[in-house]
Amino acid sequence: MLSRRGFLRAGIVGGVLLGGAAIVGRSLSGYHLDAVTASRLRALSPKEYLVMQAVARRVLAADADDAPSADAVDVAGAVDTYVAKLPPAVQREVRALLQLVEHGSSLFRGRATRFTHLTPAEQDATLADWQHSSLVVRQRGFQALRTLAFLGYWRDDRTWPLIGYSGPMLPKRAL
Amino acid sequence: MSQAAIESGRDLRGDTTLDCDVVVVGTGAGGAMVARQAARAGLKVIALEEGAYSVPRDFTQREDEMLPLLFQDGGGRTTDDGAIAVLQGRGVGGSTVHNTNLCKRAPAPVLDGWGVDGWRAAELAPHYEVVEHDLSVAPIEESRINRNNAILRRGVEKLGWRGGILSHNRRGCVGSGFCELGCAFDAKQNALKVLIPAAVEAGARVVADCRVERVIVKHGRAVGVQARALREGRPGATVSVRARAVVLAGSAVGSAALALASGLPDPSGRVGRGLRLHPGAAIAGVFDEIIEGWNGIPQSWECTEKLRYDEAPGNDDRTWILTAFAHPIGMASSMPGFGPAHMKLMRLYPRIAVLAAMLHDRSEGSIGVSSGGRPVVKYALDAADQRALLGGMRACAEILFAAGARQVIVPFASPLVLSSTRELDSIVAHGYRPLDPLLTAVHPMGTLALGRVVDERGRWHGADGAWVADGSLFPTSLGGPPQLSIYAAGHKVAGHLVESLR
Repeated sequence: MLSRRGFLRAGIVGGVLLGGAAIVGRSLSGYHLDAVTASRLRALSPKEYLVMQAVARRVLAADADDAPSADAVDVAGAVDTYVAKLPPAVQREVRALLQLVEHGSSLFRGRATRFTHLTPAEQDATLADWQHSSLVVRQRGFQALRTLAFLGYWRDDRTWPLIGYSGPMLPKRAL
Repeated sequence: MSQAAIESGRDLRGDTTLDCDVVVVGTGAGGAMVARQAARAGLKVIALEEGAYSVPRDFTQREDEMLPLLFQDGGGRTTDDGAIAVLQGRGVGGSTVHNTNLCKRAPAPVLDGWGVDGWRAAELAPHYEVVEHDLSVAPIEESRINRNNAILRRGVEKLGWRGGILSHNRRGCVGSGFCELGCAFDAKQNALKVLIPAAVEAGARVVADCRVERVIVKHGRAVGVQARALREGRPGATVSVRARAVVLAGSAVGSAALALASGLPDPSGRVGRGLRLHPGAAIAGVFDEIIEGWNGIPQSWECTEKLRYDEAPGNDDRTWILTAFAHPIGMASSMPGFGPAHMKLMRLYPRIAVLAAMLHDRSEGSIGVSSGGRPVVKYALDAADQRALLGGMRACAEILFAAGARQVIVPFASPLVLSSTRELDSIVAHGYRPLDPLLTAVHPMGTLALGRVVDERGRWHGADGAWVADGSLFPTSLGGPPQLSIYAAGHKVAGHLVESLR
């Protein structure tokens, strides 16, 4: 029922703008991910992983020291695992969204700077811009990005003590 | 039933052609019921399901693992503007695998208001009775009401409002609280557990991981379907099924999209139109007491104070109020914002109660098909529905305060945090605009409606041999959980179908 939340909201993502973002994204380079992590990726490219990691660090910026960091629970890796299970068309949308936030943010803010190169404060401002934008594509993009980050974070047993969640009755299985 | 009784498209080697009397597209409440009934009547039945076949041991109670397995687009399906998440099942058993087991007949004023022969409340009653018997429908025991639902009850009773206990289709429930991720304890008496095994036992073939791409129409008659076996979500071998009857039962989204993609005749001009969603908004109350709403049966109590089945244009009391708790990923997604402020909200998790106002909507959306063949859901709330929804959200907040909430959080993009009932009107004053607040819908209906696209038996106008047996049939929204009505509709349509093929 209603407790079944929609959380990806990346159906959001279609359209000319994102298609363009995907094309632009492919033409740029300069992203360095360690070989071990890169070799594990199933859906995202190393660049997309790094963009997701940058988004996750801001979306999941903690209010206190006891919270594991987004990097500590490898949010971007978990998002990659999740996205790999989605239909190919949805995978393309998610990847296009990550290209858009990386390159489209500067487009909107009037500066030619990638999201991953912004300071944390600038990244926060960019995400807030998207959240409150009058452009539906950006609002939708914001919702999709933050929910992907939430999925990657709150799935992890190590985050549950923060919120007192007792977790599943079943033991975790090796997949 | 052994797992081998269900076939998988993954195992099909090379293109395949099959023959049968009835091919059923989709295995949720409607499709599974038709498959069982038609097979029991001696017809040769093949049921095709886009998603996987899962058994209780597959339900791991982990959101990140179950969302891709049990939901369309991994839970990411939305309206085309992203304003409403449209959560739909994917897999053998359809949405009955992940729903919270609410069983309620459609209200008599709604059914009678349709004016469709055979679908008035008294006429549909025998079908409901069969379903209620077969699925062991019974009221939840008082002792099983969890703390979140007890909050709802406390608030409603304190206000002197109308409310009551709900009925479910569950047996042997351990109260794990993971209904929405599939039941690992096999307590759901649903299409997956009850109807599909009975259909297979009666001789039906059920093929999972097989997506129907087109209904084949020849000389004005539906004569089968063209499908693709899926392997890791990617299309493989072609599966052609020749049949005397084709039953669309892939939901009000999937069936309409398939009909449009197939070019089924549309003499009424209503194929894919008339979509209703029951969109809902969640409101959170912060309490001093520990609630831990994730424990126990998720939804056992309802408030109907703001739900009147009065078709007058000025009736804004059109929300059904119930609890809406979620596990951490779902909760995080429904809380506004990001960063430290969001995490601070998440720390309130054990002391939060969540209610939702689900709209008995009148706004009409539509289904389209993208160039890539995927369904496109178009829907926007009209002004009256916006008013009704905001009124329902206000009522949720009022209930939470009456139950003792210290604060109420209304998840607008810039969240409202209310400290007393004096501030309730700020919810209505804020107004609604798409994506603010985010809405969720789990009950698409109405896109292949009775009396318009199909006749009162569920038979397609303009294409013999095509039938509909899912929530697409309902000409209006129901104002309550539709699963019982979809099972009953499947039972009724199956009767007409069997009769027509004899």
